[in-house]
Amino acid sequence: MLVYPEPPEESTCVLLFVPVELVPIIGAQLGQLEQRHKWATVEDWQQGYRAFVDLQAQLMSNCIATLIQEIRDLRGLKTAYASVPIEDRTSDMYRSIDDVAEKINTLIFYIGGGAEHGDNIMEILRGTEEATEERNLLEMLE
Amino acid sequence: MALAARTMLARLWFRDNDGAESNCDVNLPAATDLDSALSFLASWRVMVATLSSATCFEVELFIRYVDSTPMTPAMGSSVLRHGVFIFGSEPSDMAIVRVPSIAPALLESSGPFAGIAIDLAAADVIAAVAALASGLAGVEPCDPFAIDLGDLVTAYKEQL
Repeated sequence: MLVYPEPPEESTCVLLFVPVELVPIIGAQLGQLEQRHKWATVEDWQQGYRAFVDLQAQLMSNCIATLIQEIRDLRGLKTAYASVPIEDRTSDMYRSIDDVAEKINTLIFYIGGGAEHGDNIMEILRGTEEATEERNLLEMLE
Repeated sequence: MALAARTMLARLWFRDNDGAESNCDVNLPAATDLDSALSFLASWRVMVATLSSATCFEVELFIRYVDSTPMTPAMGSSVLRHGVFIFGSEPSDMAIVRVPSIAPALLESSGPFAGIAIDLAAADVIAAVAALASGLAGVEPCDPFAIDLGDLVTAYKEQL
């Protein structure tokens, strides 16, 4: 019979890629560990039951797809593909991370008061300086 | 669909020193009132304990009814295919309810979990989930540890 293991002081997890077609079979196998007789004590059973039901719920979270979409959102969609439905978009329709990093560096440069512009935007935002010329940050990112 | 009372079943669970388990079943007349059945079970447990070298660790009392209407299960039905409904908001309160042979028509037909995820927008699913989460006939179901089921998290098909 199983004794629920003592978790480490620092919570640690492993990431497992489960092909979606195996979800019904793996879920059923995990479900076997909900049964009282698998566990040494009621306390072990209660912890084990909760943990294995949670694992079954995670099988349906499609977390990798969510993670990929979060990364794509961070990269930003190329304007040429704005009309393509999300489910039909491919990785090359999004800006590269290098492009994004370059834009961010440019933005930081200007916010800090770039050499070509005397303004220190942080000071302008704080209200301690007046802007000397109009800037469109979105244009800088194009 | 007509339900007819069957005998009650008094079940004692025993465990041996290898951890293996087995049960002792005794039928009681269907008309036995609940208090009498529970009294029998409590006394019977003590009595059987003197006959067995294993330990009785759990007792169960089943009140049973059987559908007396002849029926033919639908083609393609399989009790090895469950609909799994998972409830709770935190890992510490998650609970599960299974429905044998979930109807294929209730599974999503498109998306990443096509043929696996249960369609939560189906009217019959909505009604069943509401009954489990909010109660039915004045009774609110709970998990094995007597905690309310809470809200549905996800539902899918499992295959034994």
